[in-house]
Amino acid sequence: MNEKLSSLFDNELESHEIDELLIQSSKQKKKNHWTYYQLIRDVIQNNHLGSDNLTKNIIDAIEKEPTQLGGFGRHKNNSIENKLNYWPIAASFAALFVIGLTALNLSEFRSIDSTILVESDIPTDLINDHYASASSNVNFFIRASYNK
Amino acid sequence: MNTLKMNTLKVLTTDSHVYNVKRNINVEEKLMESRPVNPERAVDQKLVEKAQKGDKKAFGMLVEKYQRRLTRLLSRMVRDQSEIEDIVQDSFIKAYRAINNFRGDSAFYTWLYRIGINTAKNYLVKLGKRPKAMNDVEIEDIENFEDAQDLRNLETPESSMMSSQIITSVNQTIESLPDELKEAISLREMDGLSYEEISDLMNCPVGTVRSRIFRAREAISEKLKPLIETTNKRW
Repeated sequence: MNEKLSSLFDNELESHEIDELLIQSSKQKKKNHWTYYQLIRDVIQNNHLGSDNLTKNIIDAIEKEPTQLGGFGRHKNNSIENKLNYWPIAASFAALFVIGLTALNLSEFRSIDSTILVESDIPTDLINDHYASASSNVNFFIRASYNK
Repeated sequence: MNTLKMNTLKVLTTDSHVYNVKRNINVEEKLMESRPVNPERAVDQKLVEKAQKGDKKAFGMLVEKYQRRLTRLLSRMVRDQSEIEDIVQDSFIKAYRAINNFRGDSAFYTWLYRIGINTAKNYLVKLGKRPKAMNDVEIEDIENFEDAQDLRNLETPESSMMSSQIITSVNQTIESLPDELKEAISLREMDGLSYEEISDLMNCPVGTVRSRIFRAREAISEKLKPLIETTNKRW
């Protein structure tokens, strides 16, 4: 693993190898050699300044910070895709609303029509007879009790 | 913003336009992929992504990588070493807290340096001080600043002693390495050559170069380990 870490340090790893290595590295509890590689580079390039305690202090301070969790970048593209994803749902609701409204209007229209048809086509005598013999009518109950 | 509005309007009109918008996004992604990627930036990007997913170790690797460069940069603005160290630490903490806002539009170190400079400016304003040398230095100039002389003046006697021990140990170990390891690590670290360039020069496969550099680093690390562990305890 450290050989890959050494290659990563030199920016000589392929993208998929970097992913694998970082996953392995985050699982490993033991401190990796990245610190030493950086130190060696600083010394060879004459940049070492004896400030290793600062690095340690910063890492300790970061450890005390709450873990930052969140999505990564490309919010613009995501937002466009999210907007595109909402359109079919909105369209479906709109279609349902229109169909519902139309159906409601049609049923009201039909009920009014049918009442008019009944009233105009059937003779009044027949309607009166019907009301007189209907079970809900008071006359029916009176006649029934009288026959007994 | 205008592009976004136009795309949204296209979506509203017909299905074919929806296709056009999606296709435009894909073309942009392809163009991004086909652009030459700076390998260092790509590695930093990966480490940032890991840190954004809660991996503090990955952020620690970025701290190790850029702490000295940021310290060097800020030493041009602030005189006092303890102040510089406070500002550097503060800058990294700010960067960590804001890591989810980093979208990769710039290199990580450019973003970090901006945080560092702003932190230093705010710090100096609070103290009623003026920055040491630069007020309006371009960030690109700062990034190219490689002279460590300023910082060497900031060393304490204790850190100076530790430095000299580490330097001696590294140099002695390099001298004792087999020639092929010594040559490989020198070409990489002193001349900054890529593995491919080193393989051409040393007339060996890239895999061998990789292995030689690694073995050299491991040998030096083993020598440094007791020294660093002792000094860390001392700190």
